[in-house]
Amino acid sequence: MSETSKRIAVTGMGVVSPLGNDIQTFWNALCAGKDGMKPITHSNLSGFPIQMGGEIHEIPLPQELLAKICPEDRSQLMVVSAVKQAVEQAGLECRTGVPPVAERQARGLSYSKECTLKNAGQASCLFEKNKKTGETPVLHSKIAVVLSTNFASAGTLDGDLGLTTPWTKGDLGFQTAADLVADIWNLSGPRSTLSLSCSSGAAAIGYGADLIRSGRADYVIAGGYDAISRFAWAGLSLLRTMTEDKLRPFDKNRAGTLFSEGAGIVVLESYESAKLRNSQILAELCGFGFNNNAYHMTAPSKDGQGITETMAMALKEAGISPEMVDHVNTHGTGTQLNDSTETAAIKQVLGKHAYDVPITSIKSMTGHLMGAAGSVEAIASIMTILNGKIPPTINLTTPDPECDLPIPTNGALEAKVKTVITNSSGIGGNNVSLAFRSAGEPNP
Amino acid sequence: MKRVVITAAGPVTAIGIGQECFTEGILEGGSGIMEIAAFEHEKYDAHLAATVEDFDVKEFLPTPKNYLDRNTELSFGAFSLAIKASGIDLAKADKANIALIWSTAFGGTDTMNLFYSDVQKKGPRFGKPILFPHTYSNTAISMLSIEYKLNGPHMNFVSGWTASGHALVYGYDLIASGRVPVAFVGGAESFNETIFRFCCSRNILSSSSKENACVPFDSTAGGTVMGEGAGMLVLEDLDSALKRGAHILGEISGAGLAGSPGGLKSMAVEEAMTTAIDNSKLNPCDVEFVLASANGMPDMDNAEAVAIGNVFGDNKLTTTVKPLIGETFGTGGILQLHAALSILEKQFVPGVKTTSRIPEAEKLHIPAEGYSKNIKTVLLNNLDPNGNAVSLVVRRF
Repeated sequence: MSETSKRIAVTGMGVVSPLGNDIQTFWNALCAGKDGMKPITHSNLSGFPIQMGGEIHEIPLPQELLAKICPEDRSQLMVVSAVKQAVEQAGLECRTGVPPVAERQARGLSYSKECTLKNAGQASCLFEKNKKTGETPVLHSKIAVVLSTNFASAGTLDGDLGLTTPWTKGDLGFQTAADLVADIWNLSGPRSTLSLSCSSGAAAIGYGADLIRSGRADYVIAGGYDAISRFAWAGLSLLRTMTEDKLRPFDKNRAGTLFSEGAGIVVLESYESAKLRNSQILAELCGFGFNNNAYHMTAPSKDGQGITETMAMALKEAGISPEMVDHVNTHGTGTQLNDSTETAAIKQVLGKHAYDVPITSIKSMTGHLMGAAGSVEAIASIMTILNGKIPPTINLTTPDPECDLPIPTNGALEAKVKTVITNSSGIGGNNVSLAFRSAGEPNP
Repeated sequence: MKRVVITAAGPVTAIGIGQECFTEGILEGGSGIMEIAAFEHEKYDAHLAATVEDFDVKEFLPTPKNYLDRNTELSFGAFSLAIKASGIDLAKADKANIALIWSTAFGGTDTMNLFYSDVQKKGPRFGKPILFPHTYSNTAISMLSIEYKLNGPHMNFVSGWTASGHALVYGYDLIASGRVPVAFVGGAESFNETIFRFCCSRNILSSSSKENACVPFDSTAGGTVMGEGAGMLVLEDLDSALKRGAHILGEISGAGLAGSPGGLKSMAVEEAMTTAIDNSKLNPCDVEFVLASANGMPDMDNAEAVAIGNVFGDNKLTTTVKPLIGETFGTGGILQLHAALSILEKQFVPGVKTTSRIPEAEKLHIPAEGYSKNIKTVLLNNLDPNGNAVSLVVRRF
């Protein structure tokens, strides 16, 4: 059943970020070098020394979707908005109809007899639209949801997690948003939630691809989300990773990161599926590396061994040599340790070629999106491939000799980019690297 | 496709710690459900839980720790027991090629509460920095990685009640596809007032007396009983296990994942079970026995009973161990697999006491008392009330 060699296409993307709540606005802001950090207003951060971060305003959603979302839970708004964008771009249409079982059987896809009978004539299901021929639904498939988050609905908790205040608004577990997406779009596939601190978003995309490779899903809606909350801010402040200065990845005087909120979602399917229904393949996800430093809960190992190994794993899975990497979208948090360690890791994996590979940290503009960071940076990587532009790293004014790889700082860099690696790391020592390449590249 | 076998197990449950004690507990059939002792429960409608007693984490820690959340403590217990049972020498193992996959539904809620109470009552500067890293749901897996220097593939599932089922299927797939030869797959769920209160607010807990508190497939059932526990299984590809002369407890021959929108429906359970059977290249009649996820929650038990009937026909031998260990949420799937291994080892089917069977379960063969039976193949379910369904087929090796 398992086919590790099965190629994975990205056919839809959706983003909710401090730089914009749709892909084009987000991308334009990245290329323009817009700083998304502002004083936080939605969450009660009274008493905290640092209150700058990246906040979401005015998430556009139609009333019928808003009605299904817990109004106090901003994280759900972000997820649903990003999923809606990604599903629409992928051409997965939500509409009423009968899942064409005969076609599923002909393709050898699994189906549920009861689902078909129960849903006959009244179900609102996702159908895969054939983009060339238009309206005809091709078939009704197993669509999985894989979300990831650090803090889930923590923003809805007041008091001490409901022990002294009534628990009426929030949810204690992590699975609510994934179930909500499955309910809204009437999905009969499995829905998972992962939590791997700040590498969560990238892990969701990698695991989602594995679900397709193993034949457990035909399509996967995958990505990460997190909302700013008083709970999260309390902890992140105490970790002393936040800066009172601007967020300056790779700058000699970098003093820490700034946190933000958002969601980044992609739609994954097999390359063959995307071709069959004439869908635009935005990029191919060709490599996934994931591990743990096995070193320290909150500090990266100084030699960067963990992230070195995930990059190597991603390249190995992609079957590409280090010389074929055109760009690295870094984790680049703006902390002293991360940025020098990650630079060393990139040099270790790419060798001398590293000095020819422009790297960037979009966190300089988006802030650190926590559980969404990895998936939003994956989306930025795919946009880089599609547009031939590498977004700048802003606020980098004093180069650090330890961070001596080429970094565009003065506007976006025009470059032909076929292959990108994007890195994510998190508290607890988790690392994830994803490799994307442009659609249509031959399978190495 | 590689064949995937289980070479060690490390359960930490209300009826026993370690696979031998746990198996003994299943054979004896005594329930671990007790009146709650950890906090004053009179103000709630439910009063019972199946908690892990006589557990001292110090017995399982290679090095002393300043602070651990209960969830992490239980995780260390399960990990330590399974590794010891496996005979794997971690000092000599190729750890970059061992996957560590963990799971929980609620994570470190005790510590979240402790940490956030200080912040709310005293102010932001008074939160204890040492506590915050222990509030993450991936704290347990991270601490295991650090303690045992496990730097291989690493994944943490928090998919509600099927978190550990998803973890198991991922571990199975990683080995079956040849990406790693060994996977340590585990999970933990602790018991505390925060989770208990949340479950009360969602009306999922039974308010009946101890004898009738967890009565799966019974029309008098009005909810389940919270369980506490942890478990870890060592999964290996068959060649790797044979090469090192490992004792093989069982083989996972197939797995299925499914989901239904708007709550758990029988179609999801049916699809997960048929996929697991298809995966195994078996027919439903080859499965001798179903270890159900049934826990006394009426809608879930109904959906599962209907699905078992649809897939297997009438009179399918079905049982559940939830009356013994309670509903352990994010570690439910892992403990189901531990129980399946006990059943395969002892060739013993546990009984389930029902007084008035729900109509959907009338056609199932649910033994009231445990009995010995020759069993080669078990299908187990791990279900979530919101719609996720996971099934695995486990065989004697």
